[in-house]
Amino acid sequence: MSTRQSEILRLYRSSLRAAQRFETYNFRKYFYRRTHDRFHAMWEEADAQKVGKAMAEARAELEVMQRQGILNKMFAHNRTVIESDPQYASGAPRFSE
Amino acid sequence: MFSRSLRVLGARANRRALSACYLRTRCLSTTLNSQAEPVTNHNVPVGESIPAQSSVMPIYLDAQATTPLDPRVLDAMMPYMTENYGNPHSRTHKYGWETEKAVDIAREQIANLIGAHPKEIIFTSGATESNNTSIKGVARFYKGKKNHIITSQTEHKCILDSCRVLQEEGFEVTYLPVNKGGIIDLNELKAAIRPTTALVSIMAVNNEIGVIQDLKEIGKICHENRVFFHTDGAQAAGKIPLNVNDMNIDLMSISGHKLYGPKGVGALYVRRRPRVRLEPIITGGGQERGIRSGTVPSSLVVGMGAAAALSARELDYDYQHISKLSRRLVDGIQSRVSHVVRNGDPNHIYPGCVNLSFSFVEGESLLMALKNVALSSGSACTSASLEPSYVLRALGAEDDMAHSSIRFGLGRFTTESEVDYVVDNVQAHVNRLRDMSPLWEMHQEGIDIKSIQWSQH
Repeated sequence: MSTRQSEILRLYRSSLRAAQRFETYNFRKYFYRRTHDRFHAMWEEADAQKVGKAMAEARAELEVMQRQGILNKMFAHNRTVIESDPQYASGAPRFSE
Repeated sequence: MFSRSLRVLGARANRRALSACYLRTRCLSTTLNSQAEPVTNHNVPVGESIPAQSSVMPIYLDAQATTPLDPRVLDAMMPYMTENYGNPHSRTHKYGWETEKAVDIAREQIANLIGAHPKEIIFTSGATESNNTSIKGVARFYKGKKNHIITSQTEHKCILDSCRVLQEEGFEVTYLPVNKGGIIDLNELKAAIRPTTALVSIMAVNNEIGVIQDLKEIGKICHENRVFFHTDGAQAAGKIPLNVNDMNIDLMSISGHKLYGPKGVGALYVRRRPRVRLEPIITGGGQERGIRSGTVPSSLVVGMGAAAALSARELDYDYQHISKLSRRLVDGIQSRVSHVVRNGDPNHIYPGCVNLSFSFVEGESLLMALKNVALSSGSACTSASLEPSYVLRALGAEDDMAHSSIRFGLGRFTTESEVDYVVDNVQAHVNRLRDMSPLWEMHQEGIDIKSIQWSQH
């Protein structure tokens, strides 16, 4: 695997982990899904310049997610009804939500 | 685009700071979760018992009322709530210059969202103020020569109320009716325009039923007749593509908190070529081109700009996601529950606003039954009174259907699981309420409800 591809994968893993750190259900699910869709679009992209731009955007987004994940953990404590309901939210992260 | 301060620290220092933060927050969250009383929480007086730290909240499906603050928007706002606290109108020091630069960037971000020039954007305290300024301002400026205003029956309360105030001042107002789908008739609009018409105000996306008006055609008609076209774009900006030049829009109101931005800020687009003149409502030091005096709330404005930039970038993605959820919701409910009517023309509707009427079920009782879902019936503005919504009445819906309408508002952060939960709950509760309803029983037996002669007691 080329260095470019391994770099993308490393960023993808960090972004997914940062997304999972949100305390708020809605934000957690959104950022997880968004990261997945963003990186899959990047993986399909052939143009190297567009990939470079997308990577820069993804890195900036990762920083934001990390900072906001911390802030979210500090201030957000409420749970949503759906989080405790096993029928709807198994707790395991899903890309399609 | 979103934050410059951390870049200054450098990547490695950044990572160290963040990892240190993680360790500290883990300790912080555990202390918070064990009933320790926060000493400096000014929202709760010291000494009073503080309730349990976390409560279980319902699923949020009320995106037309307000939207959660996107964490990326909060990230953009934080510097301006902590250290960059200068007044953007202070011209003599760095605090002022930095804040002014940020406000200019926000102005550009909002202008790019709607295809305008940054100089045409005025910051206000919200879409209500923008609507008031545009309608009252334009009408009063051109009072000598023009005294007629055209609007529609399904507008937001602030527009209808501004028109009522203008009527008391001596203006004439025509309220255009809408058809059963909620769309205004363009021929009626053409017929209603007089030589003395100053302004036409039609909202882009209705907040109760989600109907999208044909802005391009309306703009063309107004342009041909040299009448100013104002549109309330609070529910439309950032959700559907808007271009003020393509659509010949002269004035547009935008609301911050409908765009996943902060509450308390909005924008008003006022065209400069050809120039739209208006009398300001709030006068003072002449800020914001003299149209809206007062210190521009820099942190809120920066947040709104970031939200606008984000919406412009994510418009297609959000639209696809919300359309998918909307189809899932409507198909799910309509396949499992009978006698459900969707209010609004399905061909011209924003998918994120689903307004359904359930026959033989009272709206308020269904809302109370769905206590685990945060919904609304009618609009938040009129929820204080017990009258059925005027928008649904304007659609021609009968009183019983107007009373039994529920509005589901889907947003960027809504998930499929939440939609599934809502569909199952709606099915269960609607069936339960119908089982209790004598009208439903009569309907099942084949009696036509409308043919009943109700006796007076």
